[in-house]
Amino acid sequence: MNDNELDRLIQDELEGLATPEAAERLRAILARDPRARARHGEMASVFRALREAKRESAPAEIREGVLAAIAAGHEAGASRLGRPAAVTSTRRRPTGLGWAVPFLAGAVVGGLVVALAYPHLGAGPGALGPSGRTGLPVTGTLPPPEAPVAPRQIARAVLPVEARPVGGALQLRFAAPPGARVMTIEFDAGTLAPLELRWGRPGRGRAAIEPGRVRLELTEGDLGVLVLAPLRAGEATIRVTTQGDAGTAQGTLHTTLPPRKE
Amino acid sequence: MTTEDDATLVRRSLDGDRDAFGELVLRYQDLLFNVALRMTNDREDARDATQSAFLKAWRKLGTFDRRNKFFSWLYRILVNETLNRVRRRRVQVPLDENMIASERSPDEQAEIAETGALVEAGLVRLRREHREVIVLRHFLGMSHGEIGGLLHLPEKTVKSRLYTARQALAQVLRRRGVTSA
Repeated sequence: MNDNELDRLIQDELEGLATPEAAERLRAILARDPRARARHGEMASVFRALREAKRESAPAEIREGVLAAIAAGHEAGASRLGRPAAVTSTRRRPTGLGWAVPFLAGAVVGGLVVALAYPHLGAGPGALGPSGRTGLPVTGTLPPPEAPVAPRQIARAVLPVEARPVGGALQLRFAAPPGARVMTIEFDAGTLAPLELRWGRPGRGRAAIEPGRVRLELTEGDLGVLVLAPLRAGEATIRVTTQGDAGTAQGTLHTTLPPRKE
Repeated sequence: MTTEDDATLVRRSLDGDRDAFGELVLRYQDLLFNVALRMTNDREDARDATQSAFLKAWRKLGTFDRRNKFFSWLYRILVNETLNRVRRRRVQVPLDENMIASERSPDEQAEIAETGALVEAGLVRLRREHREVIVLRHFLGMSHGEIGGLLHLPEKTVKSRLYTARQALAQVLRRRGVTSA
């Protein structure tokens, strides 16, 4: 018996696939051949180590990140743009700047999901749709009128809005579009304050957080959530700028913040 | 794996039902994450690859041939995502030489081997097709037949590939002093 045949016999036995005859044959070989015993011992330790390298659970944020990105505009079966959800862009400016289309399409698809939430309700995620039954009115445009983008993309530009009774803050969910490098989120420092920033991949992206401004350095595929705490009731405007390989896209969100509930 | 259920969830997803797709994510995220983890030996890359694979699946769901198994299709997307990331990284993940330095006692080495850490590191030294079958068989617990179905290989080829893969892994571990022939 050559080494390969012996190895197969050993592996079959360790995997529990050896026939009784083959197992008996192996036992006989092992009894008389120290080299075969050594090979068996080695392979047994491989099997043991493989058993001990346990299967792991996927990080919880995988599902959350996927669903957030989907909510931000990805449409099942569509390769590029999502279907309109809550806030649609109303302005368009057809141009011949084809280079900007993939970037801006990505910016729209990647866009933001805005969630207005109330912690005392304590429920899990559940989009309430454009009417925002428990949320606050959020309106905005993305990209802005000046953005060089083809009409078709503009017509489908969306900024999905979800009202989720899960927290007492304004959540901006971002998904880095293709080619994106930097996303800047600006707001009135007297109205909103950065509370928390969670990356889809911790430690990879860089963030500069200061009053009224959060600057995120992105890599394509980054997902994250920026939580802004309302400091006072009233109107709030948030400007989002995405800079990338193909240029800059900007969008603005408007909302009315309620008095804080204690 | 309940193919019929998958088919229903895929159909609902194509109708725009995000919850249905969320169900598919829930169902397969552990499997995909483990495959990605063993292929990349990097948790962040594994998480990113898994996430990207699901997003690509969502976007390309319209191209999925519903006569096939959803997981098989999803798996191919994941493998491509994983390979892209590994290629992008451009460096082979090295074994942690410090972890297996010679000053460790045999007991310590055995302890490390028990945790499987070296096996995981050793896996990245294997050829992709070898790593793949090891992961599917030993980490996901798939039968030879299931692996064959997934990879479009005859069962005999799967078995043969597994033999070679384990031999290669044993060789890696032997070189590192974990096992001895």
